[in-house]
Amino acid sequence: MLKFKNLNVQYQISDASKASDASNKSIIALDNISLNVNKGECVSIIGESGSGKSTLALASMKLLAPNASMSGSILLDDIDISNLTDKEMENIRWNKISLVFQNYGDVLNPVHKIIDQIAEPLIKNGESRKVALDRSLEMIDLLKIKPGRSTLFPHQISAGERQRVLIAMALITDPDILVLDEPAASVDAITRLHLVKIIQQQVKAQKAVLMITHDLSFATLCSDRISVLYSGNIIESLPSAELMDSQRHPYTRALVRSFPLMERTKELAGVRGIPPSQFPEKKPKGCIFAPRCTQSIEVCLQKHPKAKLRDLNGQGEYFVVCHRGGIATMISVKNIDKSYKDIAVLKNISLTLDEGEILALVGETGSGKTTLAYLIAGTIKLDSGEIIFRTRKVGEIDKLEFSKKVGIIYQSPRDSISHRFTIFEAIAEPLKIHGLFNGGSADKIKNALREVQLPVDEFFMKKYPHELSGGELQRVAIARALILKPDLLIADESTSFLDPSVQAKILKLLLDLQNEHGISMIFITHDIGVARKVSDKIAVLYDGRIVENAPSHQLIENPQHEYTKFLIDAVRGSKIS
Amino acid sequence: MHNRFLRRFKQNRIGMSGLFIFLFLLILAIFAPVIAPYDPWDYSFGYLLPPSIDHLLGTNDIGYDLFSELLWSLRTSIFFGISVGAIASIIGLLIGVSAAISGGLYDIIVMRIADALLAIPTIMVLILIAAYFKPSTIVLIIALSLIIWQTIARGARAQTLSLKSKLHIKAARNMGASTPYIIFKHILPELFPLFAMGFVTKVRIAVFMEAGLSFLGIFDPTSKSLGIMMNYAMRYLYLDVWYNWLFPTVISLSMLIISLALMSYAIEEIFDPRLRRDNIA
Repeated sequence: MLKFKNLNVQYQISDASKASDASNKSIIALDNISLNVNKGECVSIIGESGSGKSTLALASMKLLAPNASMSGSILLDDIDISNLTDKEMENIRWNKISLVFQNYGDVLNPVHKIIDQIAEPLIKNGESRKVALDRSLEMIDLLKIKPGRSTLFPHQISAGERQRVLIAMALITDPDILVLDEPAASVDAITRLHLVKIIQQQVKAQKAVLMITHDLSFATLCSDRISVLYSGNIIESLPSAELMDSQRHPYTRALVRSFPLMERTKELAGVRGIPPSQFPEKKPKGCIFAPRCTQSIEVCLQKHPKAKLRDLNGQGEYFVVCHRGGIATMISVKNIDKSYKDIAVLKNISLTLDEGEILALVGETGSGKTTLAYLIAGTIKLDSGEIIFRTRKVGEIDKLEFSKKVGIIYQSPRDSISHRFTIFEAIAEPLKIHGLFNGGSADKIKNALREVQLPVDEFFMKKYPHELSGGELQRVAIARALILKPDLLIADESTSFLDPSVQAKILKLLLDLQNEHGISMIFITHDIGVARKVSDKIAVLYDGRIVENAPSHQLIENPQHEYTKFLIDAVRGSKIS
Repeated sequence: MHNRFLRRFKQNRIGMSGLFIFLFLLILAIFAPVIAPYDPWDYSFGYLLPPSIDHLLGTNDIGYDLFSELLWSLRTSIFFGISVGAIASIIGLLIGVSAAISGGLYDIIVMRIADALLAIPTIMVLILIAAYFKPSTIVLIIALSLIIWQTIARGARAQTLSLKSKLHIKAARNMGASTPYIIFKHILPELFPLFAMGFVTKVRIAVFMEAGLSFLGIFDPTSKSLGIMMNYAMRYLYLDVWYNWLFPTVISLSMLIISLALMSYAIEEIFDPRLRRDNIA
């Protein structure tokens, strides 16, 4: 088995041109990593580029670059390799542990045939050349490299084949521990599936496999456990089955949202912001992910969070490093009822909205979608039940204070923006209402206009709503809704009156802004087709009840309730009878 | 509708001619003390003098200079009219908007009072008040204002109710806006045309009332008023004084009322698309 214990890796940066200001600068690549890979299991490390994944792979073989300094221990079975000399390491490398290098153009020796290169580790271990070449041919066969190619040189084969050559080199010595660095990055889907089979075979053969990848679906297919690396820290460790739909850390969720999963219907969105500086003095004081997080609170900026262990029937060591214990619930609606006079509009509704999540409320007109959204926004009173925003009941929060946290975009901007206001005045209105209008507001408003991709010149800002097109005006409405930096955005049929091209642009804009601002959103629509492109979760309302509430792709692929099926069929236009 | 009101008014020839006549009379009234050649209470001139260079319209039976008296009477009429117009429309607007915003019992009570006032014949009430209490001009202004605000209140209430349900006002409310903010930033600007029309109409009514009451001699006979001038002129119709005494007075009053009527006609036309002449579509 492979075990990292409190591993720290720093790279010295000696920049000759800047030698004067900092002679000994270093960046942190890995920060106190502890990780076990047991026999007969595969652990995947996922994370953005630059998070330290490859450093971890190289460290396991003690192959770090000369400018790296390492502390902590790395145990291969019981041998602590951190104290071994290079000579001693020679005996262990390719024998006990093998590494599949990341597939750069120059990792293979250009003057040797691939069959020789695959055989090389075995020959180094003292095997006879004849046996080694036979084994090499077997490996070529195992990895489905076309037989005729064995005598070619690395530059004569494709990138996907070179990748498989690298894997063959690692497997040929039949090591106990296998470390793979991005093994699936340059292979096609069919080869990738073959690689999954090979890795599963290795796991079955009681090998300890550590896989570094940014391919999330490859990671879930191959591994039992997944650790998420962010800027040199493991911030979450979870069973691979939980990765796609029930991840706990906001960063993991952002990674999943960035990944083009086949069944996923929502538009892709990157992790907002940029990774933190790796210079120790510039590292954030609190949680390293806080600046990009969708749910950071005061404490996140002050203190480094501790890992919260999760007990899953005592299996494995799963944890999440977050002050808030993982993705937090922003709004929980509990058993609410609402009726207007004698007409019951909502009956016993319960749902939750996580921080940074987009929930679509779908249903036919009159099903209570809008009423539910406005109840959550606190603009109308509920009859019974309760709505909790973070820790407080919605009805008990000061109205003015709460209205700052909720931005609303209405169906028709022509009606929702006063025809007497110029564009500038319309966007300034929330600031004025909250007494925040001051000298800096003009810049704020210009920024808001830039965000929604509208011109910022005086001429435009002095225009009146009737001089703008519907799409432009809806952008103004979005800018207005976001000017107070709300935590929750409610879009009430905000795109349904627009033509498809403008609707597509507005939806994209809305999603980008939601992602960049890291806010939660309730998206009300009667069009389940739009909802599936936008939302993380869909709640289907029918006659004042939620008949189904599930992650969007599940709900679309496999609707449970008859009404949902009916709704999807209605959008598809099938079953017209 | 926004901002277009003033532009449309400027384009409206009827309205603009009314406005010009009114402004002309208003300037005469405001600068009466400067323009008038004599003190209107100075009766040291000859009786019933015909028009001449010294006395543009001649003098009356007790030796007042008629031109000076006419200017001062115009001043009284316009002051009375504008005061009543302003007070009545402000009361109407306040009551109408507040009734619509607050609703409930208050709404019911004030609107029933408005209905009751509608049924009362204004001129009769005013004659009674003036005849029994012999009030001062100021009191009369207030009394008249208090019984003619109801039409403005009803209009303001109806429009506020419909505005209240407009999405942009709901949006402002959802942004956290207070009721005063909504009233001042969203509702009152929308009510401006209604206010303008109410104001002009009420001015017209008040001018007419004042002239009528003073003609009937119910008003303070020592004050200067177009009605009183007409009343006195009528007594000397057997003499040949109508052209320099009655006629200028009647023309002035008519011009004043016509100018106001033209303006309210124009505002109404702008306001109500069905009356618009350029309404081809």
